[in-house]
Amino acid sequence: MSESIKGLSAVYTQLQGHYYLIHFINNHGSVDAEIAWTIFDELFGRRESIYPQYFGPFNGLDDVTKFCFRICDEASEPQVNLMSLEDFNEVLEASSTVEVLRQRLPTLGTIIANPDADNKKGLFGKLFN
Amino acid sequence: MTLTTPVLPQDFDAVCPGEQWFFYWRTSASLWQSKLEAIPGQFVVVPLNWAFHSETGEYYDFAREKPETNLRKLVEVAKLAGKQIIFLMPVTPFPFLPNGGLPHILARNLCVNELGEARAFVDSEGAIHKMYSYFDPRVFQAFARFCQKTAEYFSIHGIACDVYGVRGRYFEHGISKSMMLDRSVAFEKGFRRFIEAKKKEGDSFDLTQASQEQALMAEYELSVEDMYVQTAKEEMNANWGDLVDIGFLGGSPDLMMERVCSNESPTFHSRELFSWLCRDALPSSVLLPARIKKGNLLKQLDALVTQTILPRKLTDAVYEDQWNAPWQPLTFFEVFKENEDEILWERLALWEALDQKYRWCYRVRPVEDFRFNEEVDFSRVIFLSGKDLNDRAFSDLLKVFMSGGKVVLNRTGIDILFLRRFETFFLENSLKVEKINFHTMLHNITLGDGRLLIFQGEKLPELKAAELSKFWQKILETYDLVHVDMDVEEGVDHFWRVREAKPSELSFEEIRRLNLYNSTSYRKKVEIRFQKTFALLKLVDETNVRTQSGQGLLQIEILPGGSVAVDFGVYS
Repeated sequence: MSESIKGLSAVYTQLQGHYYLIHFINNHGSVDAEIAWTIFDELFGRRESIYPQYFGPFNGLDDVTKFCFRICDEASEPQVNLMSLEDFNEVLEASSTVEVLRQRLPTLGTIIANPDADNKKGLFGKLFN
Repeated sequence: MTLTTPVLPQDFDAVCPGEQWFFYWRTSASLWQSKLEAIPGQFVVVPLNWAFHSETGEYYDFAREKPETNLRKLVEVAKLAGKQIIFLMPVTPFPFLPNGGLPHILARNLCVNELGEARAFVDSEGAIHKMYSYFDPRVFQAFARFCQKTAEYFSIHGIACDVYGVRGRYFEHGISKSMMLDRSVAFEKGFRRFIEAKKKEGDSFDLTQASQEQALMAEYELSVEDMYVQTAKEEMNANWGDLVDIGFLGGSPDLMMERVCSNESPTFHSRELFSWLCRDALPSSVLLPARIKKGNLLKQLDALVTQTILPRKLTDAVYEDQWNAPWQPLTFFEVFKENEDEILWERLALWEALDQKYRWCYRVRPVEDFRFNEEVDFSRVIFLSGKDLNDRAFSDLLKVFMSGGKVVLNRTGIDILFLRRFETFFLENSLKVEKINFHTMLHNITLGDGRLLIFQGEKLPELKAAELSKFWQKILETYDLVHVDMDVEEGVDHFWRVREAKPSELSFEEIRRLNLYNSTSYRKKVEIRFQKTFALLKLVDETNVRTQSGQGLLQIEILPGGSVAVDFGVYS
């Protein structure tokens, strides 16, 4: 039985002076892009992006955290961990199998717990999961 | 009575991962014969595993220590099993091998992409393979040695099998990329040396301009890739077959996290498969786990790869009777692009327009492949960008046109000198230039069967999607392409193939086969309307389908997971 990713994991990097999320995953794979973009627009408004394939641009790490936690909360996930691309590269290099990577990912970077996760299961939570 | 070791399905998948591939290093040499016998067909494709023969890149083991390195025995055993082996010599990293296939001592510089993200691939067993730079000069020297040692071994032991050089490719955000891709320190160092060399040669450029830097990086990348190709070709000269691009299904980083979470969709891989066929690459499913390769994806791999592309790409058999040749993808259009990153045709919504009636019936090719030679198929419509024209391409364009070819040229970015040369050419040959203003200025010139349509592309992206679609639809209609009309419900994949008519089918010019696959969980309908130049011949491999036919009409209902192939005879 394979281990599941606990909560959400986000990998960010800085491109052309802005932050972007290049991976944002739950235990099924990438989070639903449509819903995530809706939340992004709600939080920051529509922003021109030169990397439309990634979530962003974010003006700073605070915005990245705000966005990720909001999605974590909407999806009723117990935690979200934010890691830099460098952290991600290190764990990727050190992981020989997807099982190992799945176990290590949630333990890296800044972990933000969502204490309300069990009390809430809204529409987004159902859609995300 | 004989005692044989039973081959377990899982074990078989690891050693024989599909499309005739065979991984000799993943099983004991004593089991080779039983496994080879279980592979259907005449040919077996065997990738050479560099790291398996050398841990250091210096010392090589060909049957000295590990019995599984005995390639001569492998060839003999294959012969006993009634198979012919085709070896693949990787000239880029291979994503299903640890370290991309590099001997571990040479795996020093982890490849990173343009964002600085480590390049890694998940194989069929869930192992993560990191790619290491091929731009390190030590890797190149060791690769040359590997080719030399392999060639020596083949020569000494009289191994006469064909060896094909293969370049690995993968899709990222819909763009085909080389497995060689790297922006690590090793790449940067090499690139700086390349720039210095160019400066010494007197080339002038401005690296502060991103476009120039990118163009130079692409040039450097190609030149290094070419060094690997040429080295393999020269060393393996006696056995060299050709150079083939392999498109790895499941190699897309877009799907990496779905693969990590074991939640990937076979539908995504079907699209990858069709896209590789449109790029004239040989698709391979070796990265995909067996649990994904079932149902319609498995049927697609068998029909389109094993039976169609693989024999054309990896066997140099000359088909004296062309009608014995396998099917080939049906192609109406050839779209030439400067490079894979270029999105000019995407901005003009060409793909959407082609997909409406001619889904997957086009080839995407690099612009340097555009040449006037005996291989040009004048029945195809060629799309070219004026900005990509050079003297040679311009001259070839005119030759194609004068020989009856059809060219659609976007004049955006074209050198003014070429426009003048066009005018002179039209005047000298008294060719009438028909001018039409339809969303943009179009110049239509005909000469016999030849047709040249020149349009001003820069205004088109400003059009609404519906207008742009109408624009292309009107243009495509003028080419009188012989094809059926289809209404295909969303979720049904389809792919056209063609072959010449057999002597028993003499009344037809060619036979076209339409493969339909419903990979959804819903019942889907397909309606095909065809003119008198088409005759419905037969339905093949019907699985969960209901059909109803009338005069010039075929209606097909495909149940979930169902599939069918429909053969049409086409009259001249």
